[in-house]
Amino acid sequence: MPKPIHSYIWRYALILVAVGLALLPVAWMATMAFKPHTEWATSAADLHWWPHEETWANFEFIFTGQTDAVNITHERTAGKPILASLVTALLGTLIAVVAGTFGAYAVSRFKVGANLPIGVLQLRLFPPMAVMIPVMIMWVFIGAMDTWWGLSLIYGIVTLPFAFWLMKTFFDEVPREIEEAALVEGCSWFRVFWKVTLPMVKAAIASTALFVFILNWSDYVIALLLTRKDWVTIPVYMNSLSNVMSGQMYGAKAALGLIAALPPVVFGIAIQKYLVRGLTFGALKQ
Amino acid sequence: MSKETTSRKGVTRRQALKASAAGVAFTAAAGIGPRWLQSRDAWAADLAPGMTGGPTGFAGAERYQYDDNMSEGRAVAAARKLKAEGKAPDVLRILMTDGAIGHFTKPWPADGPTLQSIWERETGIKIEFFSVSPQEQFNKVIQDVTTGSAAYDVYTFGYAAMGDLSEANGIVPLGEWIDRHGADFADPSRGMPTPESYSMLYKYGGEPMSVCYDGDAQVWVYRKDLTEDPTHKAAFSDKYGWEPGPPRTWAETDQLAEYYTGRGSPEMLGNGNMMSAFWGISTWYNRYVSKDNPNQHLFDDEGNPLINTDAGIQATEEHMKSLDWSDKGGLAWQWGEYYGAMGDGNSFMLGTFSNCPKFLDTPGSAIEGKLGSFLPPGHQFGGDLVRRSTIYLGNNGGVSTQSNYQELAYLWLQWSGSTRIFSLLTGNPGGFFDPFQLANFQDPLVNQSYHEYHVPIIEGTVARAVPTIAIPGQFAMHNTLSENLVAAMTGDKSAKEAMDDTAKSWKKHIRKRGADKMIGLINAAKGGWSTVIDKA
Repeated sequence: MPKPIHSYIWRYALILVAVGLALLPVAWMATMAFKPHTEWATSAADLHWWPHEETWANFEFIFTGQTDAVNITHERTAGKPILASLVTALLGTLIAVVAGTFGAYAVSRFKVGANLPIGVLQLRLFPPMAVMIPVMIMWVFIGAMDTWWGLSLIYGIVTLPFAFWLMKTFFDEVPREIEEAALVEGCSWFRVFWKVTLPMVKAAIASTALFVFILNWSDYVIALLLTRKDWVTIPVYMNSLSNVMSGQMYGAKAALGLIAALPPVVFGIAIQKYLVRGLTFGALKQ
Repeated sequence: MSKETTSRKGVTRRQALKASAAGVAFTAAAGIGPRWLQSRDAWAADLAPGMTGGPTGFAGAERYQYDDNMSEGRAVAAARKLKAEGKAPDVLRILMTDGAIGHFTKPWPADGPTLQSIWERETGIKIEFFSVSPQEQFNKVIQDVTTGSAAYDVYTFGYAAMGDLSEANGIVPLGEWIDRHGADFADPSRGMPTPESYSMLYKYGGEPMSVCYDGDAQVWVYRKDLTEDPTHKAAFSDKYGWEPGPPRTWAETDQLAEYYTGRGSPEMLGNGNMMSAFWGISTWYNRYVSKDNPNQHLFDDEGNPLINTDAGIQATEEHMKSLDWSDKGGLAWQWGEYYGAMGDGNSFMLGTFSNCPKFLDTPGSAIEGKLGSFLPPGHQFGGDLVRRSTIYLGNNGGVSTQSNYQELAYLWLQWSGSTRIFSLLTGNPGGFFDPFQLANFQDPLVNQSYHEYHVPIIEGTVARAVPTIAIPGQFAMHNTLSENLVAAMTGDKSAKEAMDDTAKSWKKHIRKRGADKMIGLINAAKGGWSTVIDKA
């Protein structure tokens, strides 16, 4: 029996409200990025959604450290932090997804290391902060402080459990019969993995990569502790955007936030066709 | 055929490359070298007779120049010697807060050199700054100490952290170097205003442990134009029985705050003081420490907290009341927001870091020419008026125990913290380090950027300033106080409960750290408290 029309109306109304609420802070950030200093300062006369006088001054400020709009300068600019975030988040994602995929396949298919899945999970049983002092000492020892590879490596390690467990779930859902058929045809296990199984979980890898990338991209604490100057990332740089004459530089932070939101969005759009499938992979038992 | 390709004249490729390299090197040496030497000569020729270093190229530069018998000159000479002996690095690494590095990297005055360039051309040792936000400054230092990463030769930190860093073996004692290289930090005619202030800002446990970069006494500014307005004058006098102007006591301060709240458009805050977590401690301190004659201390001589006595509870109640004349949202502000509100003309008065007029009373600002400043308000005891301010936060430079070039790191601190170079440094609007040395207050460039009406008030305030807690664990102790003050202001606790809880926590902290040692340090720190008393 078809559902009554009003149930559809209610459902979509609720969805619209939920989406609206979720997007409200994003929209506020987007409009603030184009407001002049007088409209986002704490002493601004009132709060309003749309800029009264749209300006690019906030973007100019974060990329040049100054703007004619206000008599404020900043020592650091956003160029290097954006590059640092891109490099380290991407490499960290690559490390976690590659290692997680291989590890998950081995455990899923060969049942090696009965305690390995729990062992990997242990990396996430406590907050990363709890182990950061020993990590810092190790990173100093191996010369990894404030380097692109040092930050990428820790991102890879910290997000490995996510990648491993997600991929294990996906591999568990791939029918073994297909792999066995390939084995019977004379394929080696690696060839089976590479040519048969991996193409089947492409969508799962894409959604895992996006998830891990977002975790790395938005990290603050680890980057704060393991960088000093050369490889400071966007969130750490954003924290420095305050000024003696105006306090928190909300406009500049909004402009940087808008830029920082772009890579995950672009990444998401680029893998959109895999994403839906990846997120629903294994939802139904065979 | 040989492996090397031979040209028609019998010259091998390797020989040709060698000859080219030599040619390039010769050309560079002949072309660039003398030019560098020329500029060095030209710079030295611009120095006043008898001077061996310092800035050149602007009117009055000679005031900041020095010879080998002056504090800065001795530091440079010793640094050169270390360089010649191979005991100096190519680059000295300095951890410093955002907003202060401009003192060294921005020219001041506009046609002058940067301080960084002066040091580098005189010593041949480059400087690399690592910036950090004020909130993360101490954490970065402690991380470097704990991990032994030796990332910096010089740390900067709040003066009150000297105890923590000394106890953590993070900074090196400086007494021997100060004597050997003859620093002028405590020079009675040019350095710290009083022996007490030298003790407060440079020493921990009686030993010099760091070099002060930032006075940071809380100095009061107000909207002078509004107190001179005839309408306000009449209305205020009718209500309170005295003409509005610089207050002498906290009672008068509160009356001004009450009256000016809600005046103007947009409605003004009568009390523009910092009230938020962490930052608002200084406002509470300013009120509390003048509640006895000569001082209302934080601890008695046995190390018992005094903040839950009548004086502490009363100060807290008054502090809570003053929230009526503040922005309620201001409980989440940081110091920049309070500056912003004052700078935009939305606050009547503010007791804060002394650079407020330097940054806010500037051409084209909403309050240009409208500010005045006054000595800290206090409490009356018979014929005495005890006016007090506190030195909260501040910035000191210390030599890292992790550094391989500790003496050179100290020499940098001596050079940049001595009275001539520091006068030039602190006047620079490129950073927020504030004046505190006697020589600074006489300096024309300091008076230009800090304004002539404000500089004598800074000097008077520094003389009346007392320290906050500067013993090991001060961060935890300040956090407890801050949390309890906020709890009182938001109505979660009464003033008495808040102070009792703070006192209990402080007591526990002192016991945990070793009561005998802590009591000794508390009593030693009392040597830094001002004894200046005014007539009522």
